[in-house]
Formats: sequence, C-alpha cells, structure tokens
Amino acid sequence: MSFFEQTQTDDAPETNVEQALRAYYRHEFERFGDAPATDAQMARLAPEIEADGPSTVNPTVALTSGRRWTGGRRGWRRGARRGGLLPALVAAALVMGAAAFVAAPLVVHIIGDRLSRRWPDQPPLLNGDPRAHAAHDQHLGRDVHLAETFAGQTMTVDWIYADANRIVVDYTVQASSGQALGCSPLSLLDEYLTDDAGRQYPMNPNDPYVPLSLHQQVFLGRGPSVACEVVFDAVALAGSPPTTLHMHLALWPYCAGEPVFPGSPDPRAQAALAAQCPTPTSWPKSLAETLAQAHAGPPAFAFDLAIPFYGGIPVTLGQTLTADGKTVTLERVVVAPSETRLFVHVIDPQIGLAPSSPPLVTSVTVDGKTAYPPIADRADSGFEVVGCAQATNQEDGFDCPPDPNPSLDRTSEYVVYHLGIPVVAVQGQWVVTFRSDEPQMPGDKNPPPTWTFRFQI
Amino acid sequence: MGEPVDGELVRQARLGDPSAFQHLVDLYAPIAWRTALVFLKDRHLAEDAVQEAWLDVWRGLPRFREGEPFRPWLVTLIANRCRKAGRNARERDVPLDDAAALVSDAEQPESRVQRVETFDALREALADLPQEQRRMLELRYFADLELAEIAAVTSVPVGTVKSRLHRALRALRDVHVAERLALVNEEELA
Repeated sequence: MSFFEQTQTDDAPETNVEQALRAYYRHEFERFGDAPATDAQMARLAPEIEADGPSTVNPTVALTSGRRWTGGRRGWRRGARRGGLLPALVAAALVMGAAAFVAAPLVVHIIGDRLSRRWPDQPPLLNGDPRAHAAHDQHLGRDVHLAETFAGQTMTVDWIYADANRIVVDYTVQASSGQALGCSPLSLLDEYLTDDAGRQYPMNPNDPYVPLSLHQQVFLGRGPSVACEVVFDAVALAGSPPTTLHMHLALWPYCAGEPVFPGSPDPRAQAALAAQCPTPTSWPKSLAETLAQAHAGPPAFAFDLAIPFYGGIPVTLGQTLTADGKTVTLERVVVAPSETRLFVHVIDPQIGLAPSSPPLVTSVTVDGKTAYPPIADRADSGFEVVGCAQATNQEDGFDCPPDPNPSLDRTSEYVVYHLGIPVVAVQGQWVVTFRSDEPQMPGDKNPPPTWTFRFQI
Repeated sequence: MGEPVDGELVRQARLGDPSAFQHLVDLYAPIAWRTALVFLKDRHLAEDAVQEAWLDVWRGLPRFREGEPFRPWLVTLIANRCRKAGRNARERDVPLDDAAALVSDAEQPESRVQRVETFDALREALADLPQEQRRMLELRYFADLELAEIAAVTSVPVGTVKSRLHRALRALRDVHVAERLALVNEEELA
C-alpha cells in the first residue's frame, strides 16, 4: 500500500515514517511541558462561568501574558465614523499620501532576494512572511553600515526602510568568539524603536522578525553570526512625515530570563557576550516582566537612524455593509510598497468587540484584475489583527502614544488586514470581498455571509 | 470521538452545569493543549489560547446543536484563538532544540547516537517541507487530529489535507529518512 493510500483514512495502519514522526514530535514538543492542570484552567475560568450561565456569560476577555506589543488585540478607537471628519480626512490624506507615494518607484523586487544578495554565503530566505516580500524597487531603502560592539558582540545595522505601513531594519550580529546573540524572540535581543518625540513604534505582529534563512532560524543564536530583519509597525507615524525619519533603535540583551546591561559587573553580561547563555527552555518569569526590567537599564546597542520614508496612499472610506444581519465597515485603506492594509470595524455582539474570528479577505481586484490572493489558501488570506494600545484617532490619522504596558488593552472593535498586494497598477476601481469566518455550528448548511466593498484609488 | 459521552456532558454544560463543563475540560485538555502547541510553539501563548478557547466554548454552548460532534468544534475554536495569538506574536514555526538534548540519558550510547542521527535527519528533511505541510504533519502526528479536524482547523478541504500529508510523507521517504526511521521504530516497537 502506498503512502498516499495509507493516509486516505483515519484508521489505516501507519507506516514506519508515520510512527517515527510520532516519536520525533513527542520528543520535540516535550520541551513545552505537559498540559496545564485542568483545575488551574477552571480556576481561571471560574469568574466567567460563575458570573452567569453560558448564554449570558460576562464578555470580559482574559488577559494574555504575551510579550511586548504582541500580547493581544490592540485598541483602535473608532473615530471618523462617529464624527464628521471624514471629508476632511479623505481630502488631507489623499493629497499628502498621494504626493508621498508617487515618488516611490514601481515594485520590481522583493526583500527576500535583496537579503540573499547581501549575504550571498547564506541560504536563501525560506521562511520570511510572504507579505514581507511585497515587491520593492531594488533602490528603495538605504544601505547603512553602523556598528556597535558590546562585550565581543558586534551589531551592524545594514539596511533600513520605511513606508506608511512598515519600518524595516536589517542587522547582523557577529561574535568575536563563541556564538552570536540571536534576534528575538528566540534568543537574546530585544529591539526598541523610537522617534525624536519619544514615540515608540511597536513591532509588527505580522512578522516582527524574519531570520535570514531557515538554516539560520534552526541554529538561531548558535552560530558565530546571525542576520535578522526586524519589522516595526509604522502606524504610530503621525501627521505628514518627512522624507527621512529620524529614529532611535535600542537593543537589550537578556540571558536566561534576566536582562544584562553594558558596564554591569553582573557576570551574566559576560555570559551573554560570550553567548554562553542558552535560550531558556522555560522562563523563570514572564517575558514581559523580563523586558520591563531590561528597559529600566541602558541598552547594549543604540543607533540613531535616518530612515528613508516612502509614504503610501491612505484612503478613508467609512463604507458600511450588512449581510446576514452582520455589519462590517471598511474604514480605511492604506496602500504602501511593503503592503496594503485594510482597517475594518466589525463587532461580535456577544462580546461587544471585534470577533475572535474576523471575516476573511477572499479576493481583491483592481479594475477587474485579481490582485489578491496570490493563491487560495487560508495561510495567505492576509488576516491579521494589529494596532497599538491606547490608540487615538487624531484628525490627521490614528496615533499610537508610547505605551510601556501594551498588552493590557484588548478592547478593540477594529481588525486590520495586511495584504501583500504588489503596488503595480494600484490605481483604479478596487473590489474587496470579505467572507465570514465565524465558526460554523455543526450541521449549519448555509453559506457564510460575504461583504463586497467597491472604491476608487 | 467519544460522542455518546460528549453528548450528555455538552447537554448538561449547556444547561449551565459547571461540573459538566469541567468534565469536558478534563476530557479534552490533552488534545486542546497539543493543538495549541502545534500552532504556537510557546507554552505561555498556548496556555492563554486554550484558556480563551474554553471561554469561547462556554459562550458558544447555547448555539451548539445537540447531537453534533463536540471535538471538531473545540479544535476549531482552539485554532482560531491560536491563529490570533500567533499572528500577534508572530505565528511561529519555531525549530526545536537539538535532538541530542531530548533523548533519554538512560539510552545505550549506540541507540542514542542512532536516534540523534535519525532525528537530525528527520529535522533536516522536515525543514525542507513547506510550512503548511509541516503543520499538517504536526496536527496529524502530534496533536492526533483526525483528517476532518485538520481540515476544519486549517480551513482547507479534506482532500487538500490528504494530498498535503501525502506529499509530505512522500518527501520524507524520498530523502531516505525512512530508512533511518525504520531503525528507530524497530527499537521503539520492540
């Protein structure tokens, strides 16, 4: 019986390969430990359950212990839809955005290729986010070679790029001996990006880190050099940004759950330098706590960066459609070289927030030509929830203030979709279709509702 | 899928019986945990995702149709929560530690070396697979999901699940990992 035949049913006898995979995965996943005790789970659920029966359970969502800027859905305050600012927003945004965007060359290149060319001795980028591969002209961004050394670890910022959606920094770390510090979140560095006003830019939860290659990812933090691409969310950019953004990048190493600081007599600093510090298999405390502690001290690496800014086309829409009793509002679209973002307001009436399974983008066409998705697969559906904690909707756009504790805000009514739409021929009649992704009740034969928006760019 | 037991538990939980709900949590804790680990590869994120998925279950019970299978619905909710958590914290396809660190110290040196080599070879072969194929393998051979459940949590047709599993297994065989794996299995099954 062939492999194919044997995998056609659930109860077919397993081959050696399949049995070995089970053994392999048992070992590989062992590091995460056993399932948490159900008693503990129930204790955490108890306030919800005891509040009332399941039909009227309190909608409070449990907080997560996620890491910085990635712990949960972050707040996008409804703004223009409530007020009367839409016309002004549309006019201002279109003028500013279009002016900035038309300066950007057309897209003919992908970030991954560029990375591979920069480090030709490395395997090609295999595991990057497809959306990070949104095409760019090969001359976008800026090559820089800014280096700093901390206890035998030399960090070099190689390339920087920014547009209305993303700020991207490529860097390498080289160890004079031993192993290099790895890029987060798997190893020992934590990055922070701020501007002159002290505004912090969250890491893009879509793809905060893109190791140079799968090979590098496998051995992340274990080699003499590591190359990483870190992606920050440009959503905090306010007003009409200049063509060059002045940013400050700071990196803190941490070792076995504890921060290490330059100049500290703490032997862990030396350990981190020599990269003898392993990636902990279990954190002695939460990563958020570690990072908060780390940021109380000076960073090990700090760079002042002049990042070229390529703008984008922001379009404020406020279109509302209802299907199957469910209302979806496409508030805003931002087209930029790195990606296209759709800002959608949608509420699950049961919890008064965006649903846990927001609608999926099933297609995007521009002047009748399919622009998205490249292949029909959930993994490429572009679904994403992003934003920033305590965001406020200013007249000149959404604004993210510095937030030292961003994981606490889970009150968003917005969902943000990241689409890897090539920026060639984006101008025209756009048609964007969403399909409900709420879990179907077993036996429910009705097709999920869809919403189709049409607008001009 | 154990539906006769589930059915009664679900019915009682729908009526607001916390002890029935507790039984459901007990019953499905392992599969919920394994499924979350496949998606997130992070203990803390997985704990949170499972926690929130159980809240989704509790909230959704009134809409759950009596007599329908519970497990596929649960794993779908788990996957939804993981997808969101994973996207927020970068959905992870995290390679795991060196196999040498994972094998038992009690093993004989020869079989230890053999196992390490085998797992290294397997890791290498898996690394060459597309991410969606690796995910399918993990859901199938670690989380122990059935084909229809994998289809549900990955939002692809069952046929696609089958073909991806097939391609993945064939690739493993094609890179001759199977020869090494056979040796390991003989030991394990002995």
